Amino acid sequence: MIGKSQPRIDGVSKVRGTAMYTDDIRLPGMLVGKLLRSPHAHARVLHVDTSAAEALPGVKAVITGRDLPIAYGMLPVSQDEHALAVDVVRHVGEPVAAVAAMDERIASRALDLINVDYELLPAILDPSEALVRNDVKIQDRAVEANVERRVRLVFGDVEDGFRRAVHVRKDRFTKKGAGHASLEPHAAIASFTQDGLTLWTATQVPHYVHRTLARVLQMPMERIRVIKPTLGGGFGGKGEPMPLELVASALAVRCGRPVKITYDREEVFFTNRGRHAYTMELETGVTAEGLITAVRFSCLLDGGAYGSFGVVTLYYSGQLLTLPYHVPALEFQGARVFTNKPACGAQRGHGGVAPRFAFEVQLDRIASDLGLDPVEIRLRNQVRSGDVTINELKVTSCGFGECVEAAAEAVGWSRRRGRLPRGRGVGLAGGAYVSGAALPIYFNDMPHSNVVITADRDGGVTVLSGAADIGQGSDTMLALVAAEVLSLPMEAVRVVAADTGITPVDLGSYSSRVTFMAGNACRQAAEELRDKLFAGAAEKLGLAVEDLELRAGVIQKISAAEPAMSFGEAVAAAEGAGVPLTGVGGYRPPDLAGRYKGGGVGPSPAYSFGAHAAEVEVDELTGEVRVIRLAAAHDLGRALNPVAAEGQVEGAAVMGFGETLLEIHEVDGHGRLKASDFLEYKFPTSLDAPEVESLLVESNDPQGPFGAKEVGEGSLHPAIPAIINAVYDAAGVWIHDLPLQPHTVRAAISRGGS
Amino acid sequence: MRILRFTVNGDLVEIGANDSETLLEALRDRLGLTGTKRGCDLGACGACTVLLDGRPILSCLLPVWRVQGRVVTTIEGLAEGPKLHLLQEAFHMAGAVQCGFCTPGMILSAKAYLDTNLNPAQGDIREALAGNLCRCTGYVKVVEAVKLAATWMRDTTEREAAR
Amino acid sequence: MILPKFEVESPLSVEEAVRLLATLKVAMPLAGGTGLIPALKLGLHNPSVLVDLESVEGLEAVDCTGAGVYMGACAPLSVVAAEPRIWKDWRALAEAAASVGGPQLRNVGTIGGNVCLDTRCWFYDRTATWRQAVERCLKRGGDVCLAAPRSQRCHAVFAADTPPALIALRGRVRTARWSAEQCIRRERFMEDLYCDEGSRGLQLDAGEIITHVIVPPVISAGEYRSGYLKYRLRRSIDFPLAAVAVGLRMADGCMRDVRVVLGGVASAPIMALEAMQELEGREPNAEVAARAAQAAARAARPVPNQATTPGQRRLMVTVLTERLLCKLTSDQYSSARRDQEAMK
Ligand SMILES: Cc1cc2nc3c(=O)[nH]c(=O)nc-3n(C[C@H](O)[C@H](O)[C@H](O)COP(=O)(O)OP(=O)(O)OC[C@H]3O[C@@H](n4cnc5c(N)ncnc54)[C@H](O)[C@@H]3O)c2cc1C
Ligand code: SF4
Ligand code: FES
Ligand code: FES
Repeated sequence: MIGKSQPRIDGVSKVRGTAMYTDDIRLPGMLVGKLLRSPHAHARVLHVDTSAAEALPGVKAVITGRDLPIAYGMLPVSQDEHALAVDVVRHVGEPVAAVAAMDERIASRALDLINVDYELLPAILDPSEALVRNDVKIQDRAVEANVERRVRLVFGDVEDGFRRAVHVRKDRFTKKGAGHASLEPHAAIASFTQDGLTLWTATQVPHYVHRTLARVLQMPMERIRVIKPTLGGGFGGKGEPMPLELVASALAVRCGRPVKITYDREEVFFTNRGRHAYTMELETGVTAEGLITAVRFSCLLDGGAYGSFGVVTLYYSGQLLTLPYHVPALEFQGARVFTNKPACGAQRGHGGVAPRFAFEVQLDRIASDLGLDPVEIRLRNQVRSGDVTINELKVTSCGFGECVEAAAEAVGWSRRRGRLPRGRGVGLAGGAYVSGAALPIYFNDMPHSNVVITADRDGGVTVLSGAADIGQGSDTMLALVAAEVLSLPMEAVRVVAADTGITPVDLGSYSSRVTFMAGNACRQAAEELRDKLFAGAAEKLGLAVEDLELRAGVIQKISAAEPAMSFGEAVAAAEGAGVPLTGVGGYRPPDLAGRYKGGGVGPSPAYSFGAHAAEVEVDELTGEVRVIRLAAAHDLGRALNPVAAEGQVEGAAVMGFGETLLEIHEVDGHGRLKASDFLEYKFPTSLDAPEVESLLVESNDPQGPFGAKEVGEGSLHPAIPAIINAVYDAAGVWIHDLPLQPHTVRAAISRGGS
Repeated sequence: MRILRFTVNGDLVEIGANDSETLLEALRDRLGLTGTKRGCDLGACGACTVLLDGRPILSCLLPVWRVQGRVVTTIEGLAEGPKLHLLQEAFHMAGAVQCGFCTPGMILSAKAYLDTNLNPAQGDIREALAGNLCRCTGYVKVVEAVKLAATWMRDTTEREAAR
Repeated sequence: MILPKFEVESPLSVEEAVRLLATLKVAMPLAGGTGLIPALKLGLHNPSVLVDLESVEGLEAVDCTGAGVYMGACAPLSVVAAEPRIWKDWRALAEAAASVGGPQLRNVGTIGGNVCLDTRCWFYDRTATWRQAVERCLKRGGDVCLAAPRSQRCHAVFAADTPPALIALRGRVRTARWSAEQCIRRERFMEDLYCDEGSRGLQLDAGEIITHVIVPPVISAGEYRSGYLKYRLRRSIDFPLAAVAVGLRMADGCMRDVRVVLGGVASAPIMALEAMQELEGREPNAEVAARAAQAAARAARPVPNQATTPGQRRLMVTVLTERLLCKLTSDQYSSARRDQEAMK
């Protein structure tokens, strides 16, 4: 079953339109909640007068920051957010107050009636200003001026590396912010009854929402149940607790009636947590053969007003530079600053995307300086299975070389690079990413993923997992793993997932951890169940366990022709022991953390590798760039479900394409988002997106479930630099600033180089 | 509030609705047809696409009284009982569905298109879907699914013609 | 997002429609609604009544039987864009109609609504929360332009696709209004509907509506040529950031009755008069096209209130004009050169 394409187990309900997303749920007596948001980028909230709103017929409750005074945040080091602003608003669109009312119209009117007295504070919108301005403090916890965190990591002998280099390049790169733009906006419904609080929410991380609710509402965790219904896309945008979840819950508790809050599109943009804007300086030394001797990288991350995942983003920015090429010495220096903008956080490819763009473009420039082929320089420097990087990342399996060759081959590299007519070009770039983080976000010893499988007496099984299917297909992956181990048809496996009241804890869908970790846990649970099944069957049949095998839902003597016992009969036999038949599995990554501060971010039980080749057309007159195709090779260890894996690669590649050419998340001089709807936030339509050819490379990771590793995020990284490198081939200019916009391409062309 | 009578998915329905209500609101809130999605509410994503007299339109921009006496098809109206429409089957089998939020709108746009042309070129499919944004798939498998459905639908028509 | 409360009137005739518009307080006409409904959701207008033009009988027909194109104001853009005769003889219109938004919008958006579409601006088409903190701009009744602070006028962009094409094709509109207890109809040239002031709206009387959009017949189809090119960042959904429509007649190897009209680069569709003069009566060739394109760009007045820079939009006027002229007349280049060589 593994390795053959399977349709999604939730596919039929999705094509029928019957899948229930959060906003589709309606509860009896349900109220509508809405948030009042700050129009100012930075202001003190002097007074919130809610009396007129409360007096409006149909309004059931109005709350403000005072009602939810406890701070929270995704990382233990960044507990700096409030569901509703307390004292200060730090970006345009920050929630200040909330209402619950009979319907949306009344709720909207009520918001108009809330009177907020603001005292305007100077806003910092420029990250370089944030570095030095001491007179304005966006967050008290800033270490200096408005710097949230400074990081400096040095591995190996950097000075020596640069001394050994025969060629050194130093370049500056920038990248603007981007957003997830999942098609489904955030939504949450809270219901408070004698059973406690139940929250249905569009989240990637039910477990963290659960913990945060308990903390902020001061309610014991066992009184709270968080359920993730069908989810319409995450990409990191639903990867941390959000104000609406806390507010809907607080309002439901207050009103004793269910409350639903659904963000409109602008509110999603106000919430952000998307890609940080970066300013980067990269210096790389190489030998005459193009072997990397040392890398020095510094970057400034525009974090927006809150911490979010930012410290992790910052560490990743440096830590992931040691893959997929052998880097003997690395000096990394970075800072994340607070500005008065919606907070940045984790977005598909988290932390690695901007630095990877810089690195791969510079590597092409180095190749060009040395007269080396870009493919060749990549192959010469590639890491291999068994390598340990200078910052202690352990490479358990690596198909990077194969990816480079496959992508190059797909665009006819050797025949076409440098040989296409002017205006057309091909380019290539590589990348690598984690399959989940070795360390959990809050320190604990428990497994990161847990699975319980129970058996039906009629021959089916139910997989219980806390993992959150956010559209990537993790429920199907779990079913597939269980079906494979238990030799059952997919239809015989039911998956119940992401319900903290029923399913065992899983940390959630981020860091590309689910297939690796929940997959391993599921495999373990299924194997335990199978072992118990065999034990029961062996006893009943009077055979040794070692003599039994499972095949197509039947337990039989190995290589015996006649069936011995159906799955259901075996379940009955096993339950003869007097207890229900279950299997449990847990996955905890090995202890991989580097023995240095920051050594917890970067280490992963396995790394995926990838290389993309892009073919582009550049209109030198207008600066327009058209990407004709992307050949996207990705080493995912093993394709458990090829069609799903291809879908991840294709989607990631096109998202990377969008970030390269179109997407910008930035504010105007008043801190207001320039793009706050789908007309202005331009992610690719079907006519813009290039054709993508996904090339799956299988390196069979020794620790991955059936050899599988990450696929959904790492496959974004190479797309961006591959396109930029192709633009060079087509038009002879190096683009160092993303997104590449027509006028910037023209400017580069008229300068005649970067 | 006015009384509206129209056909939804083959059934004549009668609802009371306000003038300042959109078809999307009426479908989701009054008729419980939540298969039609709200992605942007401003006409820019296509998640709310339904067929009005067979043609794809954006229900988030259509005042509900416009449907008086007309025929609306939503995603819930495509399958015949347990039997999926071939487009639904093709989307499912070809991996054209990930999060599924764009899927109802995509399928309906594709249906309206294939209803007029069963021999689509790749580029024409992309044109037909150009008002439906998808953030997950990169459109590759969506286009494949429409091609696949067209093949199946051609086969069916030929088989029927042969009978 | 919710729509403000309004009432709806569904008149059956033009007379009734204009009477309602004249007599009811704060009434607005509604065609397909794809322009107006988003604006209402954003709270940009607050009409108490919408007068539904789609209920008016006979406003949906598209007739192009030879005596030009005669379109009811409520003809959907997809119908206009699907008419083979229009593709053949009035190609600029077909290309413009086919380039509006995405397919679903064209099924509902009408030609009349497109002609009457409000101007757009980054600082204006926004929610109340977004707009609230900053002073009102000219278009909202304030006295500053946020996009061009030194300017005294509003530069919101006229970004509808079909009007430049219609003007290039010498289109006209029929209008109706209610005055002195009767329905007054008149015919106007398309270009007279617009003024290059983004906050001023259409040059129509209060309560006046467009009932028909008319394009005159082409005298000699083979010789009449027109086209429309649009620049945008995505190939679908987006409004034009710059657009050019050209209509001309080839007679004895020369371009006659040339019109070059720009869209998306000012608050009205702009006739690029200088460019038209460059071309009028000339034999087409690459040089002439390039000169005209330069001249066209001088007529553009972009300010920073759209998704790309004013410089890029101006450049695109040059490029699109040159490309469009080349597309429309390059078959004549060689023959002209041949003739020249024969003369030598
Ligand atoms: C996401 C999105 C993308 C879009 N992209 C484009 C694009 O690329 N190009 C483009 O041109 N447009 C675009 N539009 C705008 C719109 O869809 C079209 O302009 C459409 O043609 C408007 O026609 P309508 O019938 O829907 O107009 P309506 O919304 O009904 O009306 C528009 C305005 O004209 C007035 N009006 C309508 N009819 C008449 C009449 N007969 N007489 C007098 N006044 C009248 C209305 O009062 C209203 O103010 C887009 C819209 C959206 C939401
Ligand atoms: S151009 Fe200036 S005045 Fe006009 S809408 Fe924009 S900001 Fe307002
Ligand atoms: S919800 Fe209607 S187009 Fe986006
Ligand atoms: S499948 Fe998620 S938006 Fe298309």
